[in-house]
Parts: sequence; structure tokens; C-alpha cells
Amino acid sequence: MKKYFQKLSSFLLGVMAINILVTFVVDGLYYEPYTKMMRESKGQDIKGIIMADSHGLPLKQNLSDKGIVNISWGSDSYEDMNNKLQFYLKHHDLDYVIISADNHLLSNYRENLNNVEASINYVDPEFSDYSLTGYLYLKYIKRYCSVISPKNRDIFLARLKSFLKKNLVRKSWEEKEDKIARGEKRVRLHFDNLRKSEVLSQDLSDMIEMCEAKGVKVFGIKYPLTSAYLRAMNSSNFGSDSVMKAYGCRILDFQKIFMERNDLFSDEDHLNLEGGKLFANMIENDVLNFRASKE
Amino acid sequence: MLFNSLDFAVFLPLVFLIYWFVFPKNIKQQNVMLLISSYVFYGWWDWRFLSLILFSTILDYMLGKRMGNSQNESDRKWLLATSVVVNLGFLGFFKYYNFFADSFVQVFTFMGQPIHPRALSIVLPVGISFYTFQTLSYSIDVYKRKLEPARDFISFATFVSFFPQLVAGPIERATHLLPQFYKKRKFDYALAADGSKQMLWGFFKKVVIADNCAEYVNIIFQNYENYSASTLALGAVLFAFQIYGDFSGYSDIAIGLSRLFGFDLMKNFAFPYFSRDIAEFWRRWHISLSTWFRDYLYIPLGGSKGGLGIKIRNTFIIFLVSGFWHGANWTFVIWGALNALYFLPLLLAGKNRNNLNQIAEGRLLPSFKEAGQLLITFSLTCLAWVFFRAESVTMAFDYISSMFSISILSKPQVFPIEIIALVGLFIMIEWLGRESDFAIQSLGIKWRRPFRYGVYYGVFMLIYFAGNFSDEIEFIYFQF
Repeated sequence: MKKYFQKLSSFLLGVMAINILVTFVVDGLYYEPYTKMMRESKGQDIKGIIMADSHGLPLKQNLSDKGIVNISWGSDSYEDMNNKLQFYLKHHDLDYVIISADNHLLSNYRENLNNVEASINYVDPEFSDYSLTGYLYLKYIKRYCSVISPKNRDIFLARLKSFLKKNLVRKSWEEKEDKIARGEKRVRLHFDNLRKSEVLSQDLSDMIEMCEAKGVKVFGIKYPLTSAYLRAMNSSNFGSDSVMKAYGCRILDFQKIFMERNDLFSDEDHLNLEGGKLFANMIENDVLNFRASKE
Repeated sequence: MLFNSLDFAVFLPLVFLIYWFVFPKNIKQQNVMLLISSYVFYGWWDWRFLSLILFSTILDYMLGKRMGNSQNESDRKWLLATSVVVNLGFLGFFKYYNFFADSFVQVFTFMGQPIHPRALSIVLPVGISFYTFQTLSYSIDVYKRKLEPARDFISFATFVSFFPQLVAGPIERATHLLPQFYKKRKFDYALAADGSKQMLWGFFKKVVIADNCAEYVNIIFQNYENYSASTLALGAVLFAFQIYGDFSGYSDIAIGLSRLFGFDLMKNFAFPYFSRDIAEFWRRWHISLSTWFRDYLYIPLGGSKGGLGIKIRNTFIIFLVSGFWHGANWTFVIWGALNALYFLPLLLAGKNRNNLNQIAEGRLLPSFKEAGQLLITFSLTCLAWVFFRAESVTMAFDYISSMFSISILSKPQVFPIEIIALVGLFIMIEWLGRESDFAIQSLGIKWRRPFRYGVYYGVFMLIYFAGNFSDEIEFIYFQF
């Protein structure tokens, strides 16, 4: 028995070394930047926040001088947004919240692909709906036990791949010849599973109700899409806009505004930096003017 | 509880430590410990069905005792019949009720007399086909006086529910496994080390090979109408590796796990895709089930003795029943029939036991003849797997007919190069280790320690970096 444990231990030491390496890399690439916004926001005068998945990323912090902070993150689901919102409502006197109302956001795809192990850091355990075991599992096990966390593994591999491919020149969206096929593939990823996520729908409702309770105005935004994506998507919609409308929220639909402008996109459904800047101006005009007209 | 789940990662070390450190010397306590663990393991899925296992256990234990004590042949026959009827009755109800109900409806509707039987929403208890056959083997062996009735209830109950092989086999014979519960078990380093390696290899087969192939198999089979013949052929080949990786992976984990607790389970797979004919394939695929049917069905029916008609009848019976055992769908029955058709010419020509040794024994590469035989056997097997995977008979025939067209020469529309490379690596390792019980058993055994450990770390890294962990995909054979 002693010999078995000796050999098993030496094997497990190696496994632990792999675990430490992956955790260290992923912590720097993912968990730290994810929670950085939370740490930096303390003491800032924030009037509004923009919450979305990767569709919101190109907006960068172009509206920060207007007191609007963009806290979007790639793959953020409504559960993540809910976790973040609790933090911002607690620590800031917000006027309004701009939530993504994209057609795929109540999909099964988004329910499975999220950042809940990172957004859990925004949650105050005392007032959270998570069970103690669920909270501890998400916050510590998934973050530090990389060998049982496929998310950490995937981030590590993605980083490794981009490191190996860093010298490769990638074609811009405008130059790509198979736009239609790419649009269809992306839409399949978002809409193939027809089940609407009830969990995310509940999270969205919870967010709106939390805002209402604090007198914070909620806007819904549909982000600009390429014509290839729009054509493939057709009328597919899991209905986050309907949930928001049911609460009387205003939906700003920008899906078709850049339909003819492939030069403003980096891929099927994401703006590039230039597109992000232009779009930020539109949000500013639309949301801020709307707010001003109400006041 | 799934072997590839976090729950199991906590469960196993706990049970292992209590088993060896708290009850190291007392067999009864160890058996009680294993029994409780097995019930927790099974109940984790659905505790209600524990009553079914418990009922079968109590019934067969009592019938076995009475059979052992009785000298009256007629009484003994009745006792055996009770065991067979009750056990197969449960299996029939839970697994086949809706199938027969649907089939009756179709037959009566076809004859112009539509009927509307009550359709039941029946949940299939996980592993029912496996533990039913295991308890049946006990009753039959006691009846045939090949085995003494179980000495105590705890040993018997643990034999029925032993968690490593409870839900997907290997289907153990009472004559082999039950006596192991009576013997004192001492921790054996060589056995445990071997078991750990076998578990590691089993996990590799499951999460790297089976689950990765599964993603593309699903894509191809769900949209088979839209794909070229070459894509469909690739889908069938990937399914062959999916089902092999899935099922033999489970068996490897089960066997390895049992070794950690001092038990020896029977071999269930012996590199079946390196077979030179279908008869050899069936000696190497799901060995515990094929030998079960051989011993309890084929031989009692007369086996291959007797006239031509008897041989043909028995071959078809065993393959059709085997197909039906896998599931309540005509696709499985046709899969069985197809294998019978493959096997029959060999049996009739007296060539079914031609290839009893290992392919390319003692050599690195097979001869041209062996390679050709291997490819033909594998192709026939893949063709039959299409029925196994298809959702209906019509779909299977459509799939196969679409596979035979000129587009077989085109590049497949779905071509997951990484997965194909992994399967290639897997075939290579299996080939190198084909003379052992499992592929990595002897791989690097004579190398220096750092290199030997390199092999194990290599397998671990592949599991971690190339494994598919999406939603802890269930093992295919759980449904059977």
C-alpha cells in the first residue's frame, strides 16, 4: 500500500504542476482582467453601465466621459450580467442600465457558455441566491482546480494557439469570400438548439426588477450585425426583447444599421474598432438624448 | 453517478480509503461497505430504482437457497422458472413494453383494425439489462449445480450491485465473481497499479476518442441527407470508434476500479477492430455478453452441433436476441441479423475458428493478407454499425444507399482533422499494445522511470487537453 501511494503521489505531483501552470496562466488572462473593472470602479462616478457579451466589446470605454462604463465581456450571459449588476447597484448611484437584447441571448448556447466562475466574484455571498456549495465550487474549485475545469483548459489552449499563430496575417471580414457560409455557421451555433433558456430568462427578469426597485431605467440594445448573419438568422429569436418589453423597457434596435458596411465588422456578428466607435456615438445620441427629452 | 463526473472523483477516494484503512481485515465489513457504496452509486442516478435491484436480489437469493437445498427436480425447475420469469418480466416491462405496444398497433392498423393501447411513460432503469443477466447467471448455475447457493445475503447483494460493473458490465458470471466476495482481500500493489493504468486508458478512450467522435457523428447522422457519400462513410467510421471507445472505455474503468478493491473482473474487449473475420470480431467484442449467450442460450439450443437447419436457426437466434438485448428498436434486430449473415458462411464452411491467435503475432506489421482481412472485417462492421446508430430502419437504409455513390471519391464535407489524428494515434497505441490486456499495460514497462512516467503523463495530458468534457456525456451502453 505504501509503495502504491508513493508512486501515485509522484504522479499526482506532476498533475499538480500542470494544474498550477494552467491556473497561473488563466488567472492572468481571464480572472484578473475580469474582476479588474470591479476593483477600478470603486470611487468612480458612474451614471450608466453597458452590459453585453462579446457584441459589446468593440464599444470599448468610448462613453466613459459621459459617465457610461462598458462592462461587457465575451460570452457573458444574463447570469453574469445579473451578478455584475448586483455589485454596481450596491456601490453606485446608477441612472440607467443598457442591457443587450440580442436574439441569441436566451439560447441554450449562451446558457452553457458563460463566465459564471468569474462573475461570481461580483457576488456578495451574504445576499446571493447561490447555495454555499455552489458558490464555493464556482469561486474556488473552478478557478484553482484547472484539471477539472474545462473552461480554464480552453482558455489556456486558445492562448497557446494565438501565441503560435501570432505571425499569421488574418484576413479582415471585408476580404473574406465565404461570408454567407460563415454567417450560416455562426447562426447555427447560436440557434441550432431550439430550447429557450428559462434560467437566463429568469435572470433577465430579476435584473429588470432589481433596477425598477432602485428607480434605475433599463434600455435594451440589439447590436449591429452583418448582412450575412442577418440573412441566415432570418426571424430566429429567443425573445429577450419580448421579456424586456413586457416590463416596459425601450428596445433600441441597431441590427440593420451597418448592413451594407462590411468594413465596420471584424467577423459575422462583431464590430471592429472603427465600427465600435461609430456605434458608441449612436448610443450616445440615442440614449442620452432620450434621457434628456424625458427629463 | 458517472465515472467521468466530479461526484465520482470525490466518491472513489472516500470509498477506497474507508475500504482499506477502516476495514482492512474484516471481509464482512468490507462487503457491507461495498454494498452501501454501490447503492449510493446507483441511487445517485435515481434512488427509486434501488427497490428493483433489492427485490431481484432478495428473490434470487431465496430461490437460490431453496434450489440448493431441494433434491426434487421438478421443484428446482419451478424455482428456476420463477427466477427467469420475474427477472425477464421486469426487463421486458421496463425495456420492451412500449416497443411491443407500438408494434401491435402497427400490425393491427395494417390489418385494418386500429387499436389504442395505453402508452406508458416508462423510465428505463440504468443498467437493468446488465444486472438482470448477472443474477440470471447465478440462478441458472445454481440450478445446474455448477455453483453452491450464496453463503450469505450481504455477499450476494454485493455481487449483484457491485458498483464498478453494475450499470454497464462486464456481465460477470456468478461462478467467477461471487466466490471473490468470500475470500480475504489483501491490497496487491501490482494489481492496483495495473488497475490504475487501465482506468487511465479507459478515461482516454471515453473522453478523448468516444466523446470527440460523438460530436461529429451526431452532426453527420442528424443531417445525413445533406452529405456526400465520403462524409457518410466517415460518419460510420467515427461511430465505430465512438462506440468502441465508449463501451470498452467503460469496461476498462470498471475492471481497473475493481482491481483497486482487490477484485478481478473478466475481460470484455480484446482489440476487436484488429480481427481478421467476423467470428474473431465476436470473440473480441463485448466478450461477457457473447459468452453469456453462448453458454446460456446457444449451447442449450444445440450450438453448432446438429444439421444445417439447426446451425442456421441457432446462429440467427443468438444474434437476433443479442440485437434485441441492446434496445427495443428494429434497428438493433437488423444489426443482429446482419451480423448473423456475416457469421453464417464462416460457420457453415467450418472456418469460424480459423483465427484464434493474435493478428501479426510477434511481428510489428501485419502481412498484406492480414491487412486485407482486417480492412474487410472492419468495413463490414462499420456497415452494420449504421443500423445500430440510426434512429429508424428507413434512415439506416437511406444512409447506406447514399454511401454507395460516386461522391465517395470526394473530400468529406465534415473533416475534423484533429479528431482523425487522435483516432490515428489511438489505433497506433492499441496496435502496439494488442498482445496485452489493455493497450498501455506493457507500454514502456521496461523503460527507465522518467520515460515510463512520460507515457502516463502523455495519456493524462491528452485526456486533459484533448478530452471532451461538455456536460459529462453519458456512456452509450447505460441505455441498454
